[in-house]
Amino acid sequence: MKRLPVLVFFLGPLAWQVLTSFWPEPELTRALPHALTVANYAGLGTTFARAVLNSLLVAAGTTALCLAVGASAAFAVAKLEFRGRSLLFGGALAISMFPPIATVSPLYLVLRAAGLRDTLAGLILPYATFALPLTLWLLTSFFRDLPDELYRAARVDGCTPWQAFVHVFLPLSWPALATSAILVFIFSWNELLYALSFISTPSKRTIPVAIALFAGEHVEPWGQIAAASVVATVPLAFLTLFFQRRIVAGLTAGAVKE
Amino acid sequence: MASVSLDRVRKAFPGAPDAVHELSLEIADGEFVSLVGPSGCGKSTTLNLIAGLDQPTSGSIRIDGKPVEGLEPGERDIAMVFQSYALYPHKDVRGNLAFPLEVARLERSEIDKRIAETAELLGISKLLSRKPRELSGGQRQRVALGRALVRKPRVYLLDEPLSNLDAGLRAQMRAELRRLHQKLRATFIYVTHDQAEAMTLSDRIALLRAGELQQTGTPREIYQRPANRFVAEFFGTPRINVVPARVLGLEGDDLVGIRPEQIELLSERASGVLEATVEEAEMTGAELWVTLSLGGESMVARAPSDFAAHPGGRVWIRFPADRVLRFEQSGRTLSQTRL
Amino acid sequence: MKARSQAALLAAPAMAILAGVAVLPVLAAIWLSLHRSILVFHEERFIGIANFRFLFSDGRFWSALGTTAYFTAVAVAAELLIGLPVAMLLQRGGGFFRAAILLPWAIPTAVSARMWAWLFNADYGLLHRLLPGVDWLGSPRTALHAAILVDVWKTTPFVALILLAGLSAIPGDVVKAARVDGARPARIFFSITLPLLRPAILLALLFRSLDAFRVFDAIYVLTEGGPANATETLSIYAYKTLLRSGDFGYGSALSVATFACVLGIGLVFLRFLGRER
Ligand SMILES: Nc1ncnc2c1ncn2[C@@H]1O[C@H](COP(=O)(O)OP(=O)(O)O)[C@@H](O)[C@H]1O
Ligand SMILES: [Mg+2]
Repeated sequence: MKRLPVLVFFLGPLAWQVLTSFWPEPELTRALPHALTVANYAGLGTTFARAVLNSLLVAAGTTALCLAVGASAAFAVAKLEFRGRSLLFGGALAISMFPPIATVSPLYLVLRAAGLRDTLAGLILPYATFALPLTLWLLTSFFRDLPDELYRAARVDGCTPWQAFVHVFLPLSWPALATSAILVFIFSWNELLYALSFISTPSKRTIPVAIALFAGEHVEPWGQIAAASVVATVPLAFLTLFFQRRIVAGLTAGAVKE
Repeated sequence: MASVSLDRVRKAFPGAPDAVHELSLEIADGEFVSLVGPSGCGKSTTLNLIAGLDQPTSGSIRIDGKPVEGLEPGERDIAMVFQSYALYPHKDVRGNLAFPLEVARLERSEIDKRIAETAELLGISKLLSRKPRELSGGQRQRVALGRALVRKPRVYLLDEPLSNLDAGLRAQMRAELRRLHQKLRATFIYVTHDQAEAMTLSDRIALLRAGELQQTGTPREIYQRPANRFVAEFFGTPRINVVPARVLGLEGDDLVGIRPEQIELLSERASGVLEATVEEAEMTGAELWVTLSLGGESMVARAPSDFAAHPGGRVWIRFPADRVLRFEQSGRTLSQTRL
Repeated sequence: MKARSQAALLAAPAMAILAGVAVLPVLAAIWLSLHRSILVFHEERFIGIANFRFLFSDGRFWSALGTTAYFTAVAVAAELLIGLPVAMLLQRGGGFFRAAILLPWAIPTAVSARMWAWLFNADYGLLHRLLPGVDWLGSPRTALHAAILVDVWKTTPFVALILLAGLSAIPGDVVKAARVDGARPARIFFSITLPLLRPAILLALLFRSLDAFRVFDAIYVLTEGGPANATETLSIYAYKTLLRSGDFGYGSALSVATFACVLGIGLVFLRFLGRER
C-alpha cells in the first residue's frame, strides 16, 4: 500500500497527541504509559471550557454575519447590474491577499476607541471581513451557474430583485451556503493573530489563544495541552469526516476551468 | 388585451454594435406576431425590452397606448415563457403556477381557482404536486406556459418556447398554441429562429437581422413579396435560388430569385424552356429536390417524387416570369419584375 | 431604475465591510507608519518617512525578511513535491483517505504547532526518542526547519487537493491516446500530465506563497521567533513591535513593508497566471 506512509505522516502526529492526552502526567518520562487516564481532560477546568464556548460564539457569529452579508452581495454580483459590481468582486479578491498583520494596528486603535477591544464581538467583524472574499467567491460562482432566465422569470412574475433573491435564489443555494458556512466556521475557529492581539482577558480567549498560551505552574503540562488539543480537534474531525466532499469542492472551486 | 408599440427603440450593450437598432413596430390588440431572425439578431433583447427586463438606450415602448418607461416587469401586465422554461426547481408545479399570483398578493381562493382552471386547460392537473425535475420536456413546457396563463396578462411574450422539444411534440404544441391564442384573444409576441414555425403560427411576422428590422407582413406577404434578398432567402425550404439574370435568360446585370417550387421540370424539350444538367437528386419522401446546373450556377427545384432525375442526366425547366424576384445591387427587391 | 438601486443596496453591506474593515485599515496603517506613535507614552507625531529610513538600516528587519523568504521558498517547494504524489494517490478515490488527509488542514495551526512542539520536545518528544541528539527547537539551525515541517504537514493537503482538481480536469482520452501512441508511464507524466497541470500548479503556488509569506501562528507557538531571532519572520517582528513594545509607528511600517512584499508576490504570480489563460 502506497497510502500507508502518507497516512502515517498525516495521522501519526495526531495519534500520538491523542495517546499523550490519556497519558498520566507523571509517566510522561517513560517510553509508554502503564495505564491510561482521563485526568488530563478533567484538569482542563472551566477556563478551557470558556475558551471552547468563546470559539463557538465567535465562529457562529462570524459565519452568520458572513453569509448574511455575502449571500446578498454575491447574488447582486452574479445576477444584477449596479455600479461598482466589478469593483466589489475584484476588490474582494485583492483583499483576500492582504496579510492580516497589515491591519492589526489600525483595527486595534479603532476597536479600542469603540470599546470593542477585548470583546468577542470585536473579533467577529474582522473575521467576517477576512472570510468574506472566499464566501463571495463561492456564492458568486454558484449563483452564476444558475440560469439567468430564472432571474428573468422571477422578475416577470412580479418580483423585485430582493424578492427574486429571497423566494427563488436563496432556497436554491443551500449547498453553496453550507460549503461556505463550513469553511468560514473553520477559518474563524482557527484564527490566532487577531485574537491574540485584541483579547487580553483570559476568560475571553478563544481556543487557539488558550492553547498557544497554555502554561503550567512549573513545567509545560504536555498531557493537558494534548487533551485541550484533542477537544479543539474533535469538532473539526467531525466536520471533515461528514462534509469532506463540500470542503474539497469549496477549497478547489475555481482551481480549474470548467 | 392590449396593443404594443415600439418607437425607434435602440439597445446598445457596451462595446458592441447596437443589439437592436431603431426598431419601430406596431402590434395590434389580440395579434399573434412573430419576431424571427438568425441567432443573435436581437430577438430576445427586443422581448426583454418589452418585458422591462432591460431598459432601451433610446426610443419608447407603449403598451395599450401608455408609455411603460420606469415600470417594473411585474407592473406591465405581461407574462413571459422562456426557452429553458425557467421553472423554479424548488417549487412543485402548483408552487410554480401560484408564484406570480402570490407575489401579486391575490386571495388564496382566487389563486386556487386559477391554478385549477389553467391546469385543466393545459391537461396538467395530475402533475400539480410534482417537482420540475420529475417532469418530461413536454410537461415542463406546459407548466411554463401555465405559469404565464394563470396571470391572465394582456400580452404574452414567448422566447423560443418550443425549441427544446423534439419534432413531434413541437408540431403538437404549435397547434395547441394556435388554439390557445384563438381562445384567449390576447396579444402574443413570439420569438423564434425557425422560419417554418413563424409561418404556421403568426398573423404577422417581423424579420430582424443584426438588430435591424427587415420587413413586417403576413406570412404570405413576406414569402411572396420579400423586401430584400435576405428576407427572400430566410423563408422557404429549400432556399430560394438567387442567380444572375442572364442564367435564366433575362435581361440586365441584376441578381434574380426564383423559388424552387416555381421551377417546373420537364424530361423533354418544349417551347420556352431552358436546358439544365442534374447534379444531384434528394428524395425527401413527398417530393424530390433536384439540384441543377445551369449556365455555371447551381439551382434547386422541387419535383414530384416520381420524377426521373439521374445525376449527369439532362432536364428542361420552365418558370412563370411574374414570380421572378429581381434584386438591386444593395439587395433590395425591385418593386416590379420586368423581363 | 428601482431595480438598479435595489441591486446596489443588496451589495452595500458587503462593500461597506470590505471597505471599512480591510481597505481603510490598510490605508490607516500606511498613515500610522508615517508617525512616531508609542501607545503607553500617548505620543503621536508625524515624522514622514523616517520609520522607513530606519527600516532600511534595520538589520533585524532584513534578517526577518530573509527568514520569511527562506521559509516561504522551502515550505512551498516541499509542499508541491509532496503534494503531487499525494494528489495522485487521492485520484484513486477513497472517501476516508481523503477525509484523513484533510484533517491536518482543518485543525487550528496553534493546535498543530503545540502538538509538534511536544513531538519536538528535547527531553521526551517522540522525534527526540526516535532520533536522539537533535534539539529541534533549541538550536537556531534546526528551529526554522522544524517550523517548515509543521507548515508542510498542515498545508500539503490543501496543495494536494488543488492539484487533484487539476488532475481530474485532464481528459482521460488524452492519457489513453498517449498510451495508444506507446508512451510509458514516466513519459506520460512528464509530457502530458505535468504540462496540463501547469495552471493548477501555478494557482497552488500563488495561494501558498501568499499564505506562507504572512506566516505567524506556527512560529509564534513553536518558538516565538527564537532562538536568537532565528525564526523571526516579518509578521512576528511586526507583531512584537506593535503589541509587545507598543510602538505603533514602526510596527505599522513593518506591517506595510510586509504588505508591499505580499502585493509584489501576488502581482508577479497573477502575471504568470494571466498569461496562462
Ligand atoms: N447582456 C448582454 N450584454 C452584452 N451583449 C448582449 C447581452 N445580451 C445580448 N447581447 C448581444 O446582443 C445581441 C442580440 O442578442 P439576443 O437578443 O439574445 O439575440 P437572439 O436574437 O438570438 O435572441 C447579440 O449579439 C448578443 O451577443
Ligand atoms: Mg434568444
